[in-house]
Amino acid sequence: MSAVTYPEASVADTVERQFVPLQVNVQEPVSKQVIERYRQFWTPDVRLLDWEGFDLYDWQGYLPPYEFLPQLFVGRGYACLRLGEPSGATAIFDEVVRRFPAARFVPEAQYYLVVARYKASHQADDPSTGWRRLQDRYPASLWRVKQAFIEQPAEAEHQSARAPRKAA
Amino acid sequence: MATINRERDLDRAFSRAHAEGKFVLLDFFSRPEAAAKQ
Repeated sequence: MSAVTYPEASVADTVERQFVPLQVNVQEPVSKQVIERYRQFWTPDVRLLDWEGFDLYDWQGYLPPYEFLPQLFVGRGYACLRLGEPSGATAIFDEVVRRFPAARFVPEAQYYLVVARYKASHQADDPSTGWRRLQDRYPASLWRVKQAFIEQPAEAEHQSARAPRKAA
Repeated sequence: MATINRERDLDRAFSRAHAEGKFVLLDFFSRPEAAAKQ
């Protein structure tokens, strides 16, 4: 990540403008307290923390710049939701969907965009309207499955038929 | 990106994050060969 992802211009700019960025070298014995505090066990391991040190969102594993940036945005939006800021989260998830349409984290952003809009507006029809986009655009996504309870049986069957299937 | 190792460095970062209205991005890293041994 330090060699490829963090130096990329758009990643570096976002990280510096929107976060207080820190790295912990897990090979240093003196890092033991921080490692134990966050139950860290694998690298790369990225945490988004609030100003009390609470872990709001995290992920493990390398991501290239074109996936790291949308993942970072999704994490920031999710962190806003956990802090009770659905309007801020809505703007962030909406930006992910519009700015990174081909990213693998877009279905997650689309799912939480619906959640954030609903939390902000409490309009009863918001979830079904927004989640229909998940059904249409990302039928094979796990995030589509997470809202499948709202789908009518016939519609769910139709969507499943459209999803790519592995050979038996 | 600053490299830290001690909790007191974290506390300073939390104070800065609070003052600037930002989240802290904490990245645990190691060389690949060390990660494989974890």
